[in-house]
Amino acid sequence: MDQKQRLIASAFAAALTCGVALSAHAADANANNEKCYGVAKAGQNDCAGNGHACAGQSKKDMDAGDWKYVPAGSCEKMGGMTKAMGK
Amino acid sequence: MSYAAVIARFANALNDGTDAQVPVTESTRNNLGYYRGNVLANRTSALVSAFATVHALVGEAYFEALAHAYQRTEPSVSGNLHDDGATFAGFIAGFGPAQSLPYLSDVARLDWAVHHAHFALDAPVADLTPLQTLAADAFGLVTFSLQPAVHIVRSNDWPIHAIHAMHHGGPAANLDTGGEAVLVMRDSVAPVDHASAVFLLTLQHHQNINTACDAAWHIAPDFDPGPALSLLFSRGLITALHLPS
Amino acid sequence: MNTALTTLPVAAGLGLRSPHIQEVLTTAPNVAWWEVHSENHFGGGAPLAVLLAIRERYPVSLHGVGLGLGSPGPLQAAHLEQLVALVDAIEPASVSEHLAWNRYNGQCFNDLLPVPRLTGALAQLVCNIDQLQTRLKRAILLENVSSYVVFEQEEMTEAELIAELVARTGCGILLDVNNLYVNALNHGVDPLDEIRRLPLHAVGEIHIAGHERFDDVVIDTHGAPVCQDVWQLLDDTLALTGPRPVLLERDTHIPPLHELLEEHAQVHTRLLAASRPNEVAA
Repeated sequence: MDQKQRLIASAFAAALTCGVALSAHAADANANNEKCYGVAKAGQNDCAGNGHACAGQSKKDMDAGDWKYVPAGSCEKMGGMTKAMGK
Repeated sequence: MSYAAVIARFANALNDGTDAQVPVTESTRNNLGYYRGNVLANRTSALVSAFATVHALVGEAYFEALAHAYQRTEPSVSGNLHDDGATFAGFIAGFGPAQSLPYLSDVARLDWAVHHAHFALDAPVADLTPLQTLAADAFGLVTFSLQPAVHIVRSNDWPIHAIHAMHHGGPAANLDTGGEAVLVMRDSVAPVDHASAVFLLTLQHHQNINTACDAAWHIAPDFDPGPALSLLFSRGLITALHLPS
Repeated sequence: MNTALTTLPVAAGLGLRSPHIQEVLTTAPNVAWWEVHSENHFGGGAPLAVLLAIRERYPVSLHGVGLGLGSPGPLQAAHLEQLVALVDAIEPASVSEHLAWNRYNGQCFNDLLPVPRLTGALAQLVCNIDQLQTRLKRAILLENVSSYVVFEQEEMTEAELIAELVARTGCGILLDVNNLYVNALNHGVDPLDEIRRLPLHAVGEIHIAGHERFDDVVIDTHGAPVCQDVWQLLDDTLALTGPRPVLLERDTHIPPLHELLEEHAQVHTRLLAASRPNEVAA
């Protein structure tokens, strides 16, 4: 066995000690998806589902004109863009 | 006019405002704009949800304008709004006004992977016990199938994991720290070094461990496959093993 | 009611939206059945897991919004297969879709667009409903939609089109009373005239919701409480159809669950009154 094979074999052996223990409970892990309740995303199709839920924005023309927008969100917390642009 | 011809004209009107061609009564013609507005707003709302980090980075007005620009060039291809946005990151990369935020496209790729992972199909976790009886020199020939929810996202230049974490309670990201790679799993993410990312990507493409290690060693000679394998095993990310015959 | 179309209890149901799922699972409110939008639960993970958990406790209705049965050409195969997988997993009491189109020439328009009621549309709808029902191995309920435009030279009313589809495909009807009311306000359609044109035995479910008035049109936003006129129309409808499963929907401006449950209790009261037609409603 060469050096690389020894490295792979020892990595496998170490990783398997936790992995095999888990796979014995694999069926449980699949059944426990319910724990994800808290992270259910909003159902975007609700809006479309009733067709017209977003009609508050209706009749707004698609503005293909000049780009006049300035980013105004959390990007400002990262020290602006000038420094980063230098990359 | 045939049914198909009416639909065709209605579709054109939604795309480019040629309302006069749609065979509707004069008194309701003006209402076609409501449908145009609804389609635009429905997709924008779905994009806000799928690209939560991008949305937070640029703010409401900028994101909405970006989403509208996207929709002008990229038609929706699915009746399910959760499918919308597969090409958004690529669009941002080529969109002139967004060049002032050069990391935005890479962040969008991560957002899309997280979104996709949330809805990905369930798959049973593979039983790993056959690996225990495998001869040590055969490990390198093993290939895996990974969970449909698994994505590996790399940015060469930008700390995308730190930027993502910043929007989940973490500190402000420092853009000067360089590129990061992220292992995206169902409803969770983990930062990985670039060599591990290449290792995982190679495995995901059904190449064997030897090939994946060689790819990783090519960019980091001191790469150790242990941590990445531990993640795969302990997080239940492997759905099938393919052992050498 | 034809029980081959739906096995929903003849009682008051409520639209289940993501902000309320956790609370519903924790508090198990007294709701006879829940309806969700099918596409929100495509795939796996939490979206499917939460719906399976709801299904263990309640009857579920799967209400599709994105198949676009009235679009020219065949259904989107991937969409259809995801719906089939969801129906197989959930075994819902009811499966419904809208009488609407959303695709042309490979492009999707993510809205419920009104179908021009012409002969060609009838043929396409029959074909698509047949394909869907064959693949699902069950009948679907088809919902009438609200519309903001009136096509020139239509060959039939919406009710006449639906009646023909019921006759040709064996599908049932999801009668949205609010949509009829919105069309009445926008286009002068008489809702009860339309309802009388329907094969009422095929009505498997009734929807009610709120709408909002804009400058020149009434929009079916599902963003407000049900108005008095729509409650009255529900009573009149139930008098014609007899008691049916009735769903209260709310999709925008979603209030706390307890507020929706109060409005939902009114549906229950109306249904009780409808099942005792000789008594005066409270």
